[in-house]
Amino acid sequence: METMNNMMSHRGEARCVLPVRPPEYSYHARDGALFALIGTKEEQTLPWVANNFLNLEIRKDYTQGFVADFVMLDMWGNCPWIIRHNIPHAVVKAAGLDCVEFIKRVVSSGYYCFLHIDRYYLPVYPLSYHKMHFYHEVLVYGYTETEILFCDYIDGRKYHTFSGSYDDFRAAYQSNADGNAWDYLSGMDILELRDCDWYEYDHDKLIRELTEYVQSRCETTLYDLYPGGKANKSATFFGLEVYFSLLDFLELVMENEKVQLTILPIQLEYCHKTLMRRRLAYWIQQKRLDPAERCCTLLETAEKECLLARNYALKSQALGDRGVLADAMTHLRRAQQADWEGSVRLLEALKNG
Amino acid sequence: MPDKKPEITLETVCLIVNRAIAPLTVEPSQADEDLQELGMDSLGHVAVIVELEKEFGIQIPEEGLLFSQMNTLRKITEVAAGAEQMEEGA
Repeated sequence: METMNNMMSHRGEARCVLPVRPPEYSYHARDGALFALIGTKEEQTLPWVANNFLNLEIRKDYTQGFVADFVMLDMWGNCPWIIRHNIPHAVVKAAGLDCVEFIKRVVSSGYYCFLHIDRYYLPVYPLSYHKMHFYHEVLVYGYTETEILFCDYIDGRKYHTFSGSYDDFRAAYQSNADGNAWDYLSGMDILELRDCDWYEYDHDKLIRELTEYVQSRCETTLYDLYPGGKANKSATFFGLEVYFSLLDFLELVMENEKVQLTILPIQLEYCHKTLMRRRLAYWIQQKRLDPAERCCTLLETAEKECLLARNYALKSQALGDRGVLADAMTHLRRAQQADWEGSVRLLEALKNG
Repeated sequence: MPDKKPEITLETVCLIVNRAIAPLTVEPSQADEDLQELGMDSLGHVAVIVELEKEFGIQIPEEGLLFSQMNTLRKITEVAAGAEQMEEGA
């Protein structure tokens, strides 16, 4: 593996662009970055995707909004195609290099950069971001003679490619590196994308986690390690029960104008179904699942119903009409029904497959 | 006298789509191009539906909320025209 010393001695080229692909899932920036990278090795990484992102969790807190996510212990550490190196801002500064030059050297050495920037300084973001400082993680994948190239999402959580001039990007980086905002990365994550020929799909793990999803439980959370862990644990719901949490929430939004509508957890539920479609294709390809199994149709229905639920919620937001949420709830209930029956049938089929 | 509703054509629909998805723009000559590939996302898609309903006084049927049913200018125009016919027939 190339050392940091070797990296630093690289001569920068005028232009360098590393491969990225539009990710199939980008609910959080780190997920978008992960899928943008492993998507470039789709054939290799499909078994890993099929084996992960299986269970959902949601923490009910109506006053603060929802905290929803896939149950995932350590995404970077758990993905053998990516090696993560973290470089604190202080080290970049101590190296005496301009941050843009540093990033260019990292990229020209074949590494991606995942880091916090301040959107305020980058004109590619919509006007609303230039009225206040807004810190967010982006994935740098290249540079040209005049610009840094990076991936991010704005609305809708869909990853896009963007670019910013060296000066703008420098200001966006520096604003955060100077400690203006909380930065959970505490610097730059240097991501190495490599080949991996040893990963093996683990069918037992899949059965175990799919069972937990169907039974709305999870045995692998880390709540006990964090402050307030027990309280969080009792307010957290898993698997199919997430639907009921969402329905409760939408009902509350309809009844109480003070509760703000947030679409993201519904988007997460929809993303879960789109990934499930990929998994079904994988299992069919591996001859572990018969495409004629009813579970395939049911899970396809669940995906469509989640999409309609999300779009009705978006429509409600766009119209400022909370009554439209009744339609979103109808489709969410249909999705829950189809998902429940489909997942139970899938589990049986895969146990026998 | 009420305002006359604009006629649903590829050109009028294009104007509405551009208003909804700004700063992205499309031209009527791109009638069959996939709007998702041109950069329209789910928010833009819903914004188009909302604008169409307001502008033409129609109710886009539920299938319209699936992007695949309205992912080109031509399809959007056809769905909107179909919705208008439904309104008139009701």
